[in-house]
Amino acid sequence: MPAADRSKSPLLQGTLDLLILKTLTLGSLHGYAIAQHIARSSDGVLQVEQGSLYPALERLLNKGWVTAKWKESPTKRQARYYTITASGRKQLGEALSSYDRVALAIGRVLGRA
Amino acid sequence: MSHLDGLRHRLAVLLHPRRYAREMEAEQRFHLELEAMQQRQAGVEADDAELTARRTYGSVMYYGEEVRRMTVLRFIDALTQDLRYALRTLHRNPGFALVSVLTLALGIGATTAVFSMVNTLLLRPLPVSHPEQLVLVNEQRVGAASWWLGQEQVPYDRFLAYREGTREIFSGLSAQRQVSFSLRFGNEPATAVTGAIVSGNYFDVLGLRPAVGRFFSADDEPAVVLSHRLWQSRFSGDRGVVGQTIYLNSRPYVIAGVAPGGFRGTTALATHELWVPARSAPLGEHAGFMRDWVAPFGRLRPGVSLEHAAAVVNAVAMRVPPGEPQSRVRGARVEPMTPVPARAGRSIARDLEMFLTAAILVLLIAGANVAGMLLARASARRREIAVRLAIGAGRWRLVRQLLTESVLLFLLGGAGGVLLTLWLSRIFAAWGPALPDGAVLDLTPDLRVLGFALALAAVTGMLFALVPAVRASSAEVAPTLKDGAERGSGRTRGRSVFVSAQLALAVVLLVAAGLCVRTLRSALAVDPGLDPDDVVVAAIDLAPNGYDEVRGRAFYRSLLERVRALPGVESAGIAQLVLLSGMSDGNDIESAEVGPSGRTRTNAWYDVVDPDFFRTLRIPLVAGRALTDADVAGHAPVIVVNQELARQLWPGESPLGKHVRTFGRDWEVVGMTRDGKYANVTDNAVPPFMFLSFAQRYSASMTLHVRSRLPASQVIHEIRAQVRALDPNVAVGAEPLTDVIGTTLLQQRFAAWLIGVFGLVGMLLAAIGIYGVLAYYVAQRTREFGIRLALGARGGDVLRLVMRRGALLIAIGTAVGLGAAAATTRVLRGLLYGIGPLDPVTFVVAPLVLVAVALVACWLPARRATRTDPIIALRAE
Repeated sequence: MPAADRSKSPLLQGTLDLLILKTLTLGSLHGYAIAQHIARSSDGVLQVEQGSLYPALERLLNKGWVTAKWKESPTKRQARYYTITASGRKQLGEALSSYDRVALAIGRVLGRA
Repeated sequence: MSHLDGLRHRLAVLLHPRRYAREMEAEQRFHLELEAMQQRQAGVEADDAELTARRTYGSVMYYGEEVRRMTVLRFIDALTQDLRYALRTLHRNPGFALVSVLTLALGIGATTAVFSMVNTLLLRPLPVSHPEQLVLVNEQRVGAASWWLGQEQVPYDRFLAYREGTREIFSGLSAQRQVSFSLRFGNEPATAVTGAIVSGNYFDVLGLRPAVGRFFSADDEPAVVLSHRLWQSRFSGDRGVVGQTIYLNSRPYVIAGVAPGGFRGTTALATHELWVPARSAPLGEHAGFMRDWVAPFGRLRPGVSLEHAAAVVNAVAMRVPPGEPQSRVRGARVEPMTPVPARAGRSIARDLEMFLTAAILVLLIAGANVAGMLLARASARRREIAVRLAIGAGRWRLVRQLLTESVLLFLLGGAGGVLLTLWLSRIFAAWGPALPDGAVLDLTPDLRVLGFALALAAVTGMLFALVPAVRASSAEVAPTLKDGAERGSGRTRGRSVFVSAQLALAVVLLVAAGLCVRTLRSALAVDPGLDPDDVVVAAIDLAPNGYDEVRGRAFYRSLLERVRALPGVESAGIAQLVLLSGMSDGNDIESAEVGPSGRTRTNAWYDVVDPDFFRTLRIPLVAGRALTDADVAGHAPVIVVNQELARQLWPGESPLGKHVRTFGRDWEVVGMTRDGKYANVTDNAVPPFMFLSFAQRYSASMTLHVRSRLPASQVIHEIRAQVRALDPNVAVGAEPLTDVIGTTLLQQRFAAWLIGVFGLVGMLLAAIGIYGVLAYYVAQRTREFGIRLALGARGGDVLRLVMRRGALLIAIGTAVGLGAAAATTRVLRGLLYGIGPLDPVTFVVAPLVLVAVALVACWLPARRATRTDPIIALRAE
C-alpha cells in the first residue's frame, strides 16, 4: 500500500500548507517559484520537494484555498500559476494564530521563552 | 465560496481526467526543467543536471501518481479497477455469470413488470395538458344504466343539459362514447378499430394540439381525427392523408388531423384509435346498449373547488329529468379524472399490491439463489483471497471488490429484467387475460420504470452480496494457503439457510398461486343454471337502421329461421340481455292476488326471450312450461319466473297460474326455472328473476344465441353472412358466450395468470437453488464417495446419503413455508371465490408439488455421486 503515508505527519502537512499559503500572499506563483521562495527565505533550511509540494497544492485546490491557472511564464513557457483565495487568506490567518500559540507553548516547554 | 472553488476543481479533475493528467505532467516537466536550468547555472553539465534533478526528486510519473492519489480520482480509479477486475472474473466463469444473470433477470423482470403496471395504471399522468384540472361527472342512477369503465353514462340530451348548467365551473364540458368501427380506406379490406364518438370540444377540453392537420371545427363535413399510432401503422405516417376520405361503418369521413403521439384516449385502459365528433356521426347509429349515452368529463375553471363543482353538478342532476323512463337519478358527483377511474382504481391498487408482493417473493428467491452461488464461489476463491490478504490487501478493499462484482452481476440481471419486461408485456398482450371493451394495457417501460429496475438491482445486489463478501474476505490466511484444499461442511451452512428460506418462500408463492387458480376454477365450475359451452352470442341492433316493430320482428324471425337451418346448428334463440355478461336490468313486480299479508311486491331482474332461448341455453324448468310459439301478442301475457321470485311473492305456494303486474300490465306465471346466476357467475345472492316473451314485448336490440358444436369462429362467420344477406347495413358483434363470461372474471383471471406464473418461476428457482447446493456438496465430497465406493458401499448407500441431506432442507423449508402461508393468505380473501384462504386442497397439493420438484432437483446430483469412479476421485488429489 501507498508509500505516501510517510508524508501524512499532520504537523508537517499543516506547516507546509501554511508556508505555501503565506508565500502566495506575495502574488500568483508557479510551483517551482513557491519552492524556491520557501528555500530562499529560509536560507536553504526548508527544502520543499516536488513530492510534497504538488500533493499539498492539490489539497489546497480541493479545499478551495487556492486556485490555479495556466499562464505564460517570463521564460515564454506555459506554467500553472497558483493564487490564494479569500477563504485561503482567512485560513492562513487562523492557521497563523494557532501556529503562534503552539510555537509559544513549545517554546515555554523547552524553556526558551 | 471555498466550497465552490474546491468543488469546481474536483469536478474538473473528475470530468476531464486525461486533460488533468496531461497538465500534471507538463507542470512536473516544467518544474524539472527549471530545476535543471538552475543546476546548470551552478555549473553542472547539462545531462548530469537533468539526471541529478531526476535522481533528487524521483520520476515525473511518481509525482504524477502521488498527486493523483490526493484527488477524487483515487475513488474513481479504485472503482474502475474493481469493475475491470469484476468483468474479468465474470468473463472467466461464463456459466456462473449466465445462470446468475438469468436468475436475477427473472426476479427483477417479474417485479419490474408488475411495477410497470402500477406505473401505467396509477402513477403515469394522462398525456394531456394539466390533467389535474380534469374531472368526470359521475351520475348515480337506479334502474336502467350504462357503465363505461366505472363511470355512469348519461343520455346525450342530459349531457347537453349538464353543459348548459355548469358553465360557471367548467371551462369546457366534453363527452365520449366508446364505439367499435369498421374502418375501410381505399381498396384495402375493412378492419375493426376501437374509437370514440366525442363532443366537438373534446380535444379543446383536453388541451391537445394536433400532430398533423387540425381537430374538429364547427362547419365540418363528417370528420375524423386519427390516433398517432393508427396514422403510423395504417397510413405509414403520410402527411398527405389529411383531407382524404376513409369509410367508417360504410359512411365517408374526411381525415381532419392526427392526435399527438402517446395520446390514446382518456384512460389507461381504453385505447382509442380514432375520434369522430357526435355532430358528424350521430349517436344512436352504431350498435350497442343505450346507444346515445355518453360519459361526460370537464375541465374545472381555475379556482373552482371540487366541492363547489360537486354541488353545481348535483343540482343539475336533480333538476333535469332522467331522460329515460326506467331510471331514477339520485344525484351526481365529480371525480378527478385519473388514468384509471377512481372506483376501479381502488380495487386495482389492492390487486397490484398483491401482485407486487408475489413478484418480490420471486425476486427474493432469485436473490437467495445468487447469494448461494456467491457463497459457493467465495469458498472456491478462498485461496485467491488468502493470497491477496497475505500480500497486504485490506479487508475492506476486498469486501468492496467482491461487492462490486456482485452489484455488477445484479445490474446485469436488472438489464436482463428490463428486457424480460418488454418481452413479458408482449406475452401478456398475446396470452394474458383479455380486457373488457378491447382495452389494452400499455406496459412499455418509461424512465420511471427503468429507474425502478436499476434501483431494485442495486439494492438487492448490496443486500444479497454483503454476507458472501464479508464471509469470503474473512478467510484465514495461513491454513488456507497451507493445505489449499476445501474443507469444512460448515461452509455450506450459509447456503443451506438460503435454500431453506427459498423453499419456504416458494411454498408461500405456490399456495397463493394455487388459491388463485382454484378460485378461477371454482368460479368457472359454478353451476350458473345454464350451459354456456358451445354457445355463440351475436348482438344485433336494428334501431339505427330505421326498423319499426313490424319490420324488426320480421327481421328477427327470418334471421332465426336462416340460422336454425344452418348445418351444425342445434338450436338458436334470442334474448334482450346476455345472461352472465355482468349486465342486469330490473323492474318492479307485484302479485295481483291479495295474500294473507296484503299484496306483495319486489324488484325483479328480467330478460326478454323467445321460446327457443331456454332450450339453447339449457335452462331447466322445475315446474310448468317454458314459453311457446303460442304466447304471442294478443294472447294472454305469460311469464316464467325463478324459484327465488316465487319464494318472495308466494312463499310455500306454487307460482303456476298466479298473476303479477309489471311493465304496466298483468301477466300469468306459466313456468318456474331453477335458481341460477344472472349477472356474474361469482354473485352470491340469487335475485328474483323473470323471463318475458319477446312475442309480447318487442325490443329492437336483441342478442342471437346459437348452440352449435362447430368452431365458434365458423359459427360467427355464418351468422355474419346471414345477417349481411338480410341487410348489409346491420352490424353484428359476436363472440362465444364463454368469452363473455370470462371477461366478467377478469380480476380472478389476472390473479390466476400472474400469481400462477410467479409461483412456477419461484418453484423453478428454488429447485435450481437446492440443486446447486447439493451439486456443490457432492463435488466437495467426491473423494469421500470414491473411498466409500472403493470400500464396497453400493450406489444406493451414497444416493441415500445425499438425498437425506436434500430431504432435510426440503422438510425444513416446506414446514416453515406452510406456516408462513397459513399466516398470510388471509390477504387474498377479497379475491377468493368458492374456497377459503386456508383451502385444504391447496395447502396439501402446493407443497407436494414443490417437494416432488425439489426431490428431482436433489436426485440429479445424488445420482452423479453414485457414479463416482473411485480411481479418478482418489487420483484427483
